[in-house]
Amino acid sequence: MTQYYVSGDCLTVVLPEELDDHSCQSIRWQVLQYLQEDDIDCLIFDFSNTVFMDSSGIGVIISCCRHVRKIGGEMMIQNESGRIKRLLRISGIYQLTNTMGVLGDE
Amino acid sequence: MKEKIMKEKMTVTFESYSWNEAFARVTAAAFLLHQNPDMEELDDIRTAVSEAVTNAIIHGYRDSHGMVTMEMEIEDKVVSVMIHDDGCGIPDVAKAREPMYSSCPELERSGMGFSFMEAFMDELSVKSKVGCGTTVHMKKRLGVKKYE
Repeated sequence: MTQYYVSGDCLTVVLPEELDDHSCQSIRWQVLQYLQEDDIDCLIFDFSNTVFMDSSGIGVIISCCRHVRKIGGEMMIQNESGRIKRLLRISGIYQLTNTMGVLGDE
Repeated sequence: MKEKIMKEKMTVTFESYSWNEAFARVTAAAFLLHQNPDMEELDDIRTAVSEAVTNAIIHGYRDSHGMVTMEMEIEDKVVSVMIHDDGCGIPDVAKAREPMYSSCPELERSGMGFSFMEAFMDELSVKSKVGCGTTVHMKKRLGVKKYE
């Protein structure tokens, strides 16, 4: 299950165990709701629970990043495992974000 | 002594609901379990299956509904996967396979489905005919260390 936490101007999205087209469908919509209704300028995707992701997951992250940047905010990614890290790397997502992972890990 | 099985096949056909993307990749992984693939190989195949099945559901059937068939075969450590839909078909396969290309940019999709299939499998071929559906064939040899 996806969890959403707002703290100050920061929205943390704790992503589900499997991030695919099916689980992504509500995430984009939910994030857009938060961006519109709350004063968010920092979006954090937390991969602590995520063991699977495909290109649909990449799509939703890029799309949310575009939206948060449009309102002058930024996106961060944290707690991603080795496999997820590889997928994010080959998709070029790290060029869009500030990584908060363990220092020296990336 | 039990006969050594050199070749094994399976087929599943399921409805084009998006929750069946998970069903397909779990089934694919379960089929390969007794081959003792390593986690990386299993993840690669799960990802590639997920991409092909998602394409069938999202692009093949779009707003309509139909059946998706997944066939798998393993022979001498080579896994073959076939994913077929009877959906709308792809007008220009070469264009669809280009990285970052998406036929529905308004849905804000990544356009990386075929790129992921290519990256994680050894072979990929796509046959499609407008109005008749799409068939994706993929192959991967198990037991080859790629990412050291």
